[in-house]
Amino acid sequence: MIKPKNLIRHEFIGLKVKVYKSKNKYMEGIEGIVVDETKNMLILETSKGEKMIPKKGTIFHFYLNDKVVEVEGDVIAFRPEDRIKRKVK
Amino acid sequence: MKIRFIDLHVHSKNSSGENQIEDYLRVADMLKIKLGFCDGIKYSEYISGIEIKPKNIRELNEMLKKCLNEFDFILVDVKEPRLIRKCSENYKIDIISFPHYIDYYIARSCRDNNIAIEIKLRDLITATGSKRIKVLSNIKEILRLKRKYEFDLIITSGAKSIYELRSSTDISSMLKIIGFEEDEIKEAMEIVPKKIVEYHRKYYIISRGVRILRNNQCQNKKLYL
Repeated sequence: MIKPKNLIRHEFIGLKVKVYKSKNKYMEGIEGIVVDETKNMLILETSKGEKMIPKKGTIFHFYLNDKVVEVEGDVIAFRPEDRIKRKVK
Repeated sequence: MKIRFIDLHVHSKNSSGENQIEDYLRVADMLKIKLGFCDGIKYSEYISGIEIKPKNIRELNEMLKKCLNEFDFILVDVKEPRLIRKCSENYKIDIISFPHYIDYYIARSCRDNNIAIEIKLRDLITATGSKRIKVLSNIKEILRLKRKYEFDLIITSGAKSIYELRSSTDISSMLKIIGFEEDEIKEAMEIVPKKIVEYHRKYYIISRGVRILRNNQCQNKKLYL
């Protein structure tokens, strides 16, 4: 089951995400559902189509059941298959 | 420039201090400063933190595990250079208490992990003779590294009795003599302490780079500042 503790080792596709802070000011506030993920990008489906958001230098808000989890993009800047192997300190 | 000093290192009678909390608050009102009590007890009405003095890395990790997310700030007091280096790499720590040893590595990792270095004025006031010269040169070394690597600096009184509390004008004029500029003083006395307390009231830390937003009720606490 997905929890804040295991979020960064979990599959992101299908989760609701909001860009809280970004190096690119125009990306702040973009909200959508993750449809794909690469090493450096999260691809969100928003009301205005698909948007590619870089992970590095961005802070995301992941909406889990009743909690909002803030994740720094630098922590998740790995290939999804490599992310689950990583040890969380 | 008007500064509202937030003193995050005060010991009341509940730890190693000499006076009750009420006495401190009375004097703080007179001096127009805010206090953060470093007693290791969670007070709901005041800013409360914990000071830990680990002897080795294992002890440090055990203590941090216990007190993370419990207090408004975590202050670590260590003497060994090896331990100071380890502390500067730990994201769970907020403040490193007046290190007698500091180098470029510590300065850089403090900046990366958002750890503030504390300058404790109690050490300067109580020291005499050659000890005071060492403390002064240590403060100047910290200031030099702060300007180069831009880590957070925080100024506290380290008071253990009400007579060791100082007003913001006293401290700022003393720091100006040492070589601080007005912006640096404002940042170290007001902005950085406020940032540390608000961060802990807003977030519940899970791991490096992952945190949960606390409820709105907790967030409203920042109005106290």
